[in-house]
Amino acid sequence: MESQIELEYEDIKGHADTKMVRFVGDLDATNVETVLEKICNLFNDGFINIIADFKKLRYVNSTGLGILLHFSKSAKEKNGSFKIANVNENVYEIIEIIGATTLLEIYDEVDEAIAALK
Amino acid sequence: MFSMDTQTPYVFKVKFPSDLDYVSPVRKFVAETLAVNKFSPKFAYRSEVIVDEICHNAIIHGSRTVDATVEIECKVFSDRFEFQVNDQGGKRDDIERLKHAMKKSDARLADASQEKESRGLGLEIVRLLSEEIKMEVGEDNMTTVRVVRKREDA
Repeated sequence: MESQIELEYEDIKGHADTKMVRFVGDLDATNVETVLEKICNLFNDGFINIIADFKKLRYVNSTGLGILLHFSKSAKEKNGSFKIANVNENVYEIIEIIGATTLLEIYDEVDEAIAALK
Repeated sequence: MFSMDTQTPYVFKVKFPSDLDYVSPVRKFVAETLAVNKFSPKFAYRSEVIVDEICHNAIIHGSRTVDATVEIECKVFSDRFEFQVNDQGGKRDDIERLKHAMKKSDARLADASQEKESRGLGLEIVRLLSEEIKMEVGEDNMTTVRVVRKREDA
C-alpha cells in the first residue's frame, strides 16, 4: 500500500508553459514512481516550468528528496524550472541538512515563485 | 504515556515483512509513541525520518528471500530514543555498499540528481539527525543498525 499523496494541478494565468502542482500528503519510497510519472508527463506535455506547492506536504524522505533533485535537473535541461514554495519547517529541515537548498529553487510563497518565472 | 526514566526504558519490538509498504505505518507508530511520551513534535518527526531511512535500507540491502522479515526494537527513555533494526542478511555487495554509505561523501547530492535515486542520502540524513549510529555485520551478513537520539532539552 502506497503512502498517501495527492497531486492537484492548477494553471498559472499568463504562463502557458507553467503548471502549479500542490503536493498533499507524504512523499516517500512507496509513491515516488507515481509522482515521477505524473511530473514527467507534465514536462512531456510542454510544461517546462513547474511550481510545486508544498503547503500540504507533511513528509519527505531521502527517496522523495532524490526525485525532487531529479525534477529540478530535468526542468533545467528543458530550459525550464522546478520551483518549490510553502515548504513546512520539518520538510525544509530535511532538505537543508543535506545541503540541497542550494540545488533547489525554494520560495516562501507561491506568488514569489510565479514572480520569479522568466 | 508509559512509565520510564533515564535508566528504564519503555521497550517495544515490531517484526514485519521485508516490504516497503510496511514502513510507513511503522514509522508513524514510532513517531506517535514518542509524541505520546511528551517528546516534541520535531523530535518525533526527526525520529520518524530515521526509522524510515534505516528500515528502507534493511529492506533494500538486507533481504535475500521473498519471505524475509525486518525486526525493529525501540527503547524510549525519558531523555533519549534508541532504535535498532535487524535484517536477515544481504548480499556481500549490498553490505559493502551500505558500509560505503556510512562514510560521509559530498558527492551524493550530485549523484542523487543524476540517478533519479537517493543512494546514500538516507544514511547521511540519519547521521545528521542522530547522536550515534552504529552498524554491525554478523553471521551470514545479518546486519544490525543502532541509532541513538537524545531529547533536545536533555
